[in-house]
Amino acid sequence: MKTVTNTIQIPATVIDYSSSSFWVYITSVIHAWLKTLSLIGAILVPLFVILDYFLAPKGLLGQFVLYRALATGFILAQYLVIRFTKPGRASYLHGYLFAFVVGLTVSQMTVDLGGFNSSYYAGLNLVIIATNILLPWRAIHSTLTSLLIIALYLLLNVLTPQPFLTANFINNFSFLVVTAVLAISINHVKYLLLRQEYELRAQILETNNRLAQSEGELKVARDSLWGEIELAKEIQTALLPQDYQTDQHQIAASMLPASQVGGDYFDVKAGSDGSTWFNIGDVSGHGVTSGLIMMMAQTSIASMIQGIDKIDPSEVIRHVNVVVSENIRRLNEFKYMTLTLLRAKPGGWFTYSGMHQDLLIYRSREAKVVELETHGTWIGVVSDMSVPAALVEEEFKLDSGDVLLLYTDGVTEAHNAEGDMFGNARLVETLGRFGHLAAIEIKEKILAEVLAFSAVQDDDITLLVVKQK
Amino acid sequence: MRTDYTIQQGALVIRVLLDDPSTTLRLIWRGQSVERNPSTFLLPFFTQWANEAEECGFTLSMDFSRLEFMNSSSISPIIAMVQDLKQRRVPLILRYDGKIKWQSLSFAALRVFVGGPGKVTLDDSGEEVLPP
Repeated sequence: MKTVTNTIQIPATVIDYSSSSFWVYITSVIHAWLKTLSLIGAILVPLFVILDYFLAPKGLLGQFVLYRALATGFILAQYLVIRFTKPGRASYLHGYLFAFVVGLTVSQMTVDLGGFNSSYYAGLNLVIIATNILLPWRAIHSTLTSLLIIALYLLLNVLTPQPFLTANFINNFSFLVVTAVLAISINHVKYLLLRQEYELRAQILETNNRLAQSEGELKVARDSLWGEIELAKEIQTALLPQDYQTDQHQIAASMLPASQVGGDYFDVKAGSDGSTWFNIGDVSGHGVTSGLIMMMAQTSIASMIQGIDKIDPSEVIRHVNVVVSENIRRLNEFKYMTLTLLRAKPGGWFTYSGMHQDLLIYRSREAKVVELETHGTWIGVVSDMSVPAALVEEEFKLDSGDVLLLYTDGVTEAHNAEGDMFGNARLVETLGRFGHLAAIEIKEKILAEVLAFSAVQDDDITLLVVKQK
Repeated sequence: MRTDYTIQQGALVIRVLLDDPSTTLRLIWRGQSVERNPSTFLLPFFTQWANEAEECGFTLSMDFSRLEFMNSSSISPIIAMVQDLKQRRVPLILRYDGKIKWQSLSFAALRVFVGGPGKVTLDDSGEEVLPP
């Protein structure tokens, strides 16, 4: 049986999605991105010495190289610490420290280059952007780090006052503030998106877990049911009569079950009074329920035949109907069962009752087949068989060499690839051809013809051949 | 009032027909009824038309005489419907062709419903009753 897995694939990352706490999750993201921030800082801070070479006075170049070296050294050390520690509250501290160290470095450079008139303030915009766009922390942290960087710039230049143009100050300050506002806004939206993503992922994980659990439960149920179906089929075939020879009759029978559990029934039973019973029936539909109903009927029939001397087939039918109808009602299923019981009496006489397929009798003297209709009604149609026409008891006689053929509709309704059915007429003709043979050969020949005719077997095929000795 | 429409389920086609001034609501079966579990759609279908027949005082007629084949699973919901209509005292006519072996075997068992309370009639003539 093909198994379909319906789990949703989530790409593998180093982020911890399994935690039920969003704070733990976002902290692990921040910690991961701090490494990137540190590396970018460790590359760009020393790289901008090229800018210093072209823009800064030559006398300040060595000083600036020192500032940058110190900042880079700090950032590298910070990188190593982040690399070998776990996410936690310290991760946020590292973000603040990065902003402070690089912000202080650039702010000091603006002081050395003339204070508020210096264009080096632009470097602070880059620090604000880098810190707050790379680190997905809450808006409060991006606001505080932005204010820290701007405060460092203002404080250092206020503490070392130098002449400046108001327009330059306003320009620089405006750009810093606007950059901070933009960075905080973008960071806030990013944070909300990450929160949403986290919650969706958590839902997916939970759904996957439930799917996996359901899949496991389904598999267990399927295996259990499959085992039960196989067991039901085994029981069904195990209850078939194994040895059915009598002094008066040659008997041959077979039941070929279809792939599903079916409701075909046949039996050859010795009654308590020494009579022989030949029984045949078929529960409607397929499946375990049909098999169960068949077994209920079989048990009920056997108990009556073997428990009561000289009981008539109609009485057995009446009793079986009461028992099985009640059980069908309790099962809340729409099922019925065709059933004909035949009791062989001395001298080749048979009494029969119950409605099933026609009885086919091969008359050896004429080498002809006659069809005897069965009358009455099926088991489970009415709860009380005392209504008119429900129970009819009839009889016939087999002379020596005559053959009685009992069968289920799996024989007559077997169909070929063109949709034609084997049919009653074909069965009558086949029995007519082989009726002179021994019972076992008749059974084998008919079965071979049916199987050769049918394209696929979708119902049980049951044959019971009784030849009068 | 006139009702004339057709429903189809797989290879089975059922025509529902009611012509003024007739008071017989006819369900005419064609094709084949070979679904594995036909009760799932036949029972609600029967209930609908049984309710209609009871409400309007119609006789319900089911004509199988031109149906090609019906499996044993299809007969179960028909039996349930006959039991239901008999209980409700809604007149029912079951038409089939007694000369066709599978029809004779399938419907003869329902003769137990003829007579007694509720009017159930079996017509095995196989003559198709055509609309006026």
